[in-house]
Amino acid sequence: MFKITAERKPEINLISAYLNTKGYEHSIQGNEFKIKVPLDSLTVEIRAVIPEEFPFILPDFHLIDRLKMGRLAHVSWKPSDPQYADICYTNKNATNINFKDPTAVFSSALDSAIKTLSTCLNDSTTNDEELYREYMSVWGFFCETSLPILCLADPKPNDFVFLNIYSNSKRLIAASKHNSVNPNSVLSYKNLNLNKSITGKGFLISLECYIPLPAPLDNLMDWWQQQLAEIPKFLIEKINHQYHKEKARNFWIILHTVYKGNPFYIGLQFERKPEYQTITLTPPTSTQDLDKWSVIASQIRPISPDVLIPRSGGSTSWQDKHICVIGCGSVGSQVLNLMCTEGIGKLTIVDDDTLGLENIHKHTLSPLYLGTYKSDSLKFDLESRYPFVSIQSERTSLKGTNINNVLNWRNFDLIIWVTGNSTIEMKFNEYKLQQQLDVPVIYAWNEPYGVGGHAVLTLPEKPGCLACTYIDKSTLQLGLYSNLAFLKPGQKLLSETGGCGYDYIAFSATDAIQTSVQVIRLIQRYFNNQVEESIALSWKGDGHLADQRGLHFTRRYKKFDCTFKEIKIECEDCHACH
Amino acid sequence: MASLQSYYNKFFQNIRLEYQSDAYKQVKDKDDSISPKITQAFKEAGYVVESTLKLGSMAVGTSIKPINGGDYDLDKGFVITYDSSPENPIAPKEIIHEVLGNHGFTNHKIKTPCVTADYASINMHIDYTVFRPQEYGGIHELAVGKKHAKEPKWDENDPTGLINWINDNQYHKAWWHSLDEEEVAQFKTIVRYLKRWRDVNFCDSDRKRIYSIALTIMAKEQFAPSIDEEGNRNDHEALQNTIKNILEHNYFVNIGNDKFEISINLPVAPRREVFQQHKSVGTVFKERLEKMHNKLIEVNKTDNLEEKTEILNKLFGEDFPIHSETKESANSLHKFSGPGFVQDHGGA
Repeated sequence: MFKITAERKPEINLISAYLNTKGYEHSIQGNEFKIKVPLDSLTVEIRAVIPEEFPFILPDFHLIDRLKMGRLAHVSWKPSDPQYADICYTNKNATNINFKDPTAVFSSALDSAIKTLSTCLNDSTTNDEELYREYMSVWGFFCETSLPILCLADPKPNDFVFLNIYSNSKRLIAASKHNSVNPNSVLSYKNLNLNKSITGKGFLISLECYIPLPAPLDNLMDWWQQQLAEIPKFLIEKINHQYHKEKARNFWIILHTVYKGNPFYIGLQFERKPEYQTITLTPPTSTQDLDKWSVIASQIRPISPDVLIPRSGGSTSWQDKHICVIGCGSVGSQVLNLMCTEGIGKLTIVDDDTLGLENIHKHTLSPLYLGTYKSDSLKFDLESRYPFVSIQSERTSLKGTNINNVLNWRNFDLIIWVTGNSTIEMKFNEYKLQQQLDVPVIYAWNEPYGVGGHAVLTLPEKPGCLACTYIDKSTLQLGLYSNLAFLKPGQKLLSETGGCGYDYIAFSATDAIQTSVQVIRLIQRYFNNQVEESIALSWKGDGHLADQRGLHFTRRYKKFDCTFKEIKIECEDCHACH
Repeated sequence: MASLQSYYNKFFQNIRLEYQSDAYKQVKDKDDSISPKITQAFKEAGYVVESTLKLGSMAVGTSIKPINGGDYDLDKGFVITYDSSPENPIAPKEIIHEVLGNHGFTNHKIKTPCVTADYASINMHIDYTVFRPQEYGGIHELAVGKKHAKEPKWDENDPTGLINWINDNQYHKAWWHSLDEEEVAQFKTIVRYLKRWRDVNFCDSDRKRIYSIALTIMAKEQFAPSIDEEGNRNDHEALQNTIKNILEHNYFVNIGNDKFEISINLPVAPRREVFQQHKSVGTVFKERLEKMHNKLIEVNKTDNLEEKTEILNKLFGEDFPIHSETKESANSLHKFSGPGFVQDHGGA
């Protein structure tokens, strides 16, 4: 309990005065208020705790006698401290507080808490919706004492997957060999170092129905029995038939469902009651021996693409896409990384170059991979990091003469060229048009000295191709310089640190990331069906390094004012695609 | 399919004339042989040539090839020092006149502002002018007067100022917007189009009275650029809007009976009226401008490129190509224009 100090008292008095003006009956004990709040159909009692740092930190509100309220969204409970339940009325980590007016801070917070309670108590539909939104948190209240379980298994819709349960000192892992984690991932069955001692068995049962959460005082076994009655009989019979007798001491059931596009996992750990340790029992999916099992709730941590990919802002719809990336340099490596975070399922990466010392400050590969082929090392690095991607690496050198037979281009959903070699890219553009490849292609590159970068998306069966971006705007003829460029043609752009053979186009890792972001934005737009014509995205840097070198900028650079703005690339005068 | 702009580009290539163009080489060579002789003759007469000035359309990049056997023009100024200049401005002009006559030029005359001559075998027409700086600096003075002029004089004149005015990125209708390099280039292209249009659409006598400098000043003052942020030029739109602005401006004064006089002043010293004795050409000039404007609008009403280019071909003459549908091989990428290779501008 906080002492009432001379410095603290003013805030407490202010709050009390406020509550009086509002007509709220209340009592004060130290820094805590108990406030009676009339809602529409009942009066509730709320405990308000004013923290030491108030008004720089918001007060906490607890609902007294929460357990009598049943299933209530946004109000927690602790079985160990059932009297007071935290009211989640805002995300306290994401607030800007009017600390100069403590009364306003308290009144806004109290109003918010009351509104939260009132909505959930008086509107059962909204309450249910909200409960589902915070499903995992609510289930977590039941899981106070059990270890969370990593679940390495892919749910099969309206079916089940058999699980072995492994344990070490830190965690439990429910695993099936049927999962979508690539074998090189640190989270794969192989690399999780699952010991050979199986601590239990279980099932991952995937349902296509809504699974209502239990209320705080509900008996979990009674609740489970109710759910058992709702699980399709054919499924239960299938499970019971396959596992009609079990000697496992512990049994786990993980229920999985998808509600409004969101996956939910509920874990139940069944343990034989002491008096039934040695006999054979039917599994807890059968009602026959259910009274011989005790049950506790378990929080599940699924290693599943439908949970982990959306959690990072990606999309599982990319899981069935196969993208080919030619070029594993600075930009290519960033593009590959970002695509993996977006949830890409399959990649083919092509590069015949090895990682050199000069690359390490721009490349995503660490110096541990020095001397190795970039394509092979990126495969290893990305697969180990991202569990749901599978990568094929090719150490192939693409030339103008072998483009048509080095890869089966039609196998891909998208092809990305990030080689910095405009000759070979133009050759591919010609080949693609001649062969009428029904595959979208992205070309991306950086300009030197932080001036900018460009990414071009060309769609099949639509006008607009890479050659359109090489049409000189003044002559309307096909040239050797891109019309997207920010630096005027014909200038000396290469940096040299060691003379001939050591010159290079100078750009930073930040520039590479910036351009790779443009590539990802194009992919997102394409896969989300937001693009109907071939387009380009450019980003523009401040150009001061180029300025220092006396380089001249194009008109496009001077006029350009919007990164991420789509530019139509189709040029009527391009004879390649018209 | 090609764009209308590509046909404007071809038209431009067909009519443009630069100092280094092959078609101009002989004119340039002739000037290169004559100018030193004039400078030498000046020297012998005690006039010190401190500089020469490229004048006219060659100085500002708005020259076009002549049609129908017309002459290639060369406009040049000789600037003699103030201290060496004679009181009588006709004197140096007489020296030029004599040099030209001794070197195969015909029809050489001392006119009020300059000395003119033709060199028939290469369709060349020369205008040589004599300038001197003012005694205390500032703009130049032009030697004004014919051979037996009653009041020859050294008159204030600012040839450099005029060139700068034309080349400047302001002094146009949207004065708040500075033209960039590409827009200035488009303005000059529009001038070239207007000059060719004049050459094609007027009889000889009217054509001579619709001075190129007038077209240039009007186009500059009323210029409406049309280049988007991606550098896509639309000369058709720029031309149409510029002519619209010209027609809406008060260059043409209604003097009754559907007659118009034209009035344009030089924007720099001596700020004289450009048309002076030929204001009456305003009637036919305005009428033809309106006709051109209507034709340009007509072009917009059709989507057919062949029809568009046919209208423009009638407006600008045979140097404006007409589109015809030809099938290009779907298997061939159009060739690159430019050298065999260039340094790559991008990295990854």
